[in-house]
Amino acid sequence: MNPVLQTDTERIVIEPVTRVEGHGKVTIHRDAEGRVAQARLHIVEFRGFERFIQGRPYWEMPVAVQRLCGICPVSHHLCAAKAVDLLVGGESLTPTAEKIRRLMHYGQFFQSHALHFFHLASPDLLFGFDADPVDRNVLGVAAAHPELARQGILMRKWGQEIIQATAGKKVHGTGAIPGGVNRSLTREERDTLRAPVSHMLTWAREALELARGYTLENLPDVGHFGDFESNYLALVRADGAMDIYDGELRAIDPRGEILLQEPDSQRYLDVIAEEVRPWSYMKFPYLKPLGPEEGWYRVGPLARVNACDFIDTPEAEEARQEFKGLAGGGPVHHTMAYHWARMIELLHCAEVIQRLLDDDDLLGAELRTEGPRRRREGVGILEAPRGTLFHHYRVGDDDLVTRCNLIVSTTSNNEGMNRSVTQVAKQRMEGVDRITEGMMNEVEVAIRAYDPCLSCATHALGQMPLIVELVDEGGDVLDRRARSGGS
Amino acid sequence: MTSASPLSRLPPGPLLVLGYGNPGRLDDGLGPAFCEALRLRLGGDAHRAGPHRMTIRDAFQLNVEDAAEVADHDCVVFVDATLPGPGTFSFEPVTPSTRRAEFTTHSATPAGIMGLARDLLGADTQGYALGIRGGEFGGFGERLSPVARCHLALALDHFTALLPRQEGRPTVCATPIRGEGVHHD
Repeated sequence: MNPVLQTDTERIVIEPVTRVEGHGKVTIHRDAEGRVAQARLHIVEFRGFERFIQGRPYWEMPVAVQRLCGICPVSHHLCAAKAVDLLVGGESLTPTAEKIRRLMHYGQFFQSHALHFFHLASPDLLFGFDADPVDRNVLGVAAAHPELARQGILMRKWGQEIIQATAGKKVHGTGAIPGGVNRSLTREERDTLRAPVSHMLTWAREALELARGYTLENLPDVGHFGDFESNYLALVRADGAMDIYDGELRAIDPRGEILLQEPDSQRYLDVIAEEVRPWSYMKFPYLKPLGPEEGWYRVGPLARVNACDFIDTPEAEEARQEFKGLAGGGPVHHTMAYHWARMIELLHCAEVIQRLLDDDDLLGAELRTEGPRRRREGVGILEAPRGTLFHHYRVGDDDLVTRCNLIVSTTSNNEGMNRSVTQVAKQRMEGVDRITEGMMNEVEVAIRAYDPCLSCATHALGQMPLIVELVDEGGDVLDRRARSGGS
Repeated sequence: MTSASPLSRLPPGPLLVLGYGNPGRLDDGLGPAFCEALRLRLGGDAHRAGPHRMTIRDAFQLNVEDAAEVADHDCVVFVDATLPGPGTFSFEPVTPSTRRAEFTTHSATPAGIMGLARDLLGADTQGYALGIRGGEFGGFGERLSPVARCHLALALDHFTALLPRQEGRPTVCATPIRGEGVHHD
């Protein structure tokens, strides 16, 4: 039910949004003159995970909480582990434990970014937003660009193998434990993972070039597609380098000026607050010092590349500098530039993985550290593929969780995605009599750029058909289109 | 049991058993449960060194990168739950296909995976689909219904009978399963 339905408007519903992880819907209201009065991305299912795990022992968190998601469980696994590290006095991990965790995390980033670019986004970029949906999918890519599709499959497979080697399983592994990890690599495992590195670097460079070329060639359109200025939030290392596993929270304004940088992750609530709006189960986080009106921000690849001072791997840094040149050195605000930024990160991950796999610390035997327990509360923050992720646990004297707060990446992009939807709807759907499949897909393209994981944001299961209805003032359906989910 | 192509033995060479489904959604977890029961029956990791050099893997769902693993094997058996209906299980050959209907964002079919393996990776893998009839799909829970456990046992007997026997001793033990390792009340 939508509480804002007005009697003198027509309402368009896109449900579910396809080629994203999880399920949501879009509603677009047009007034009697055909102008877009309102457009919203709704999250239609309820998560409730924070309540579900209350009463469970804290050491279960790294394994239990990753059940939120089958897409990026490693992010939840590691973020929960970082939080509970603090409960066992494990603030400082052994070199082996930290590098195994980092390898797991960069492997996950690599496979997640490859999945999104090759399987979810590339059909739009290669065939066009309004191409025949029969071809506009990964099988269409496989038919028209078989080498690209093959690379996508093998890159994803490599990332999954890194996860399996470090976490024990490709999905819902158990590698990270409070204060460390429960495994390191054997020399044979390390060498097996290292063998395809040069291929992965080559293919990551080619994917980056594809995203870069697409953005530059289509800049007149891309530059006005779901596009607006915003604040950005990301973790950076203390020296300002991009760091997706650990660092300080940095927020920048639309001109690139640093709004805040918080070195203590335990104080994240001094930085972030969340607003609840009645029409969505997904909250709207904002920078507390600025308030909800001015303090909303975007996260993810675009935010990370915009917010860091540099990337500490050579090829990705060179790509970052060219990227930032697009905006004269300031933040790049184009929503579609998320794809370019994501491929810069893909290359960065390949470079970091190569560096890690050359490090014998991965073979070490000191897996866990533990000190005197000083805390009953722990906060873990890291960068998930889709943006900054927060896990906050409080435990009682009996070691059972009494409070949990999760702010997932997609939630932080809630305001940005809604603004993108609104802008594209205004650009494409105002004043037209008939809503085409291509128009619907353009709204989805804007959402897809963020690579949202609606499962994480809400914990959704299942698959629904896509239905779009154009309804007049009297409630009569003027036009209706439907297709099966997942296209 | 239904079978479009009666088969007395699986072909020799590396074999991939890929069971998929959600163990947290009752009988939807029949595929992973089959993998667990097969491991138990074959004695842990012994299957890896057997005549089939068998890989047993479970997953929540099929993904496009599974095509790469399929391409690394001579034969693959996909194991999934099927909705309530007549019969206990089915065992049928899979024909590779890359029709759009074989793939969506959130799931891929065995035929779609086989098609990608063939078209993109040059694979000539033989494929079979073992569908085990479930009885309860409507809720949450890490357990199998009694009827699903019964069908799983029958499907496991059928599958292991298709495996070759090693010199001197059978690959397959005769111990009937009772859903060990898959039932979590």
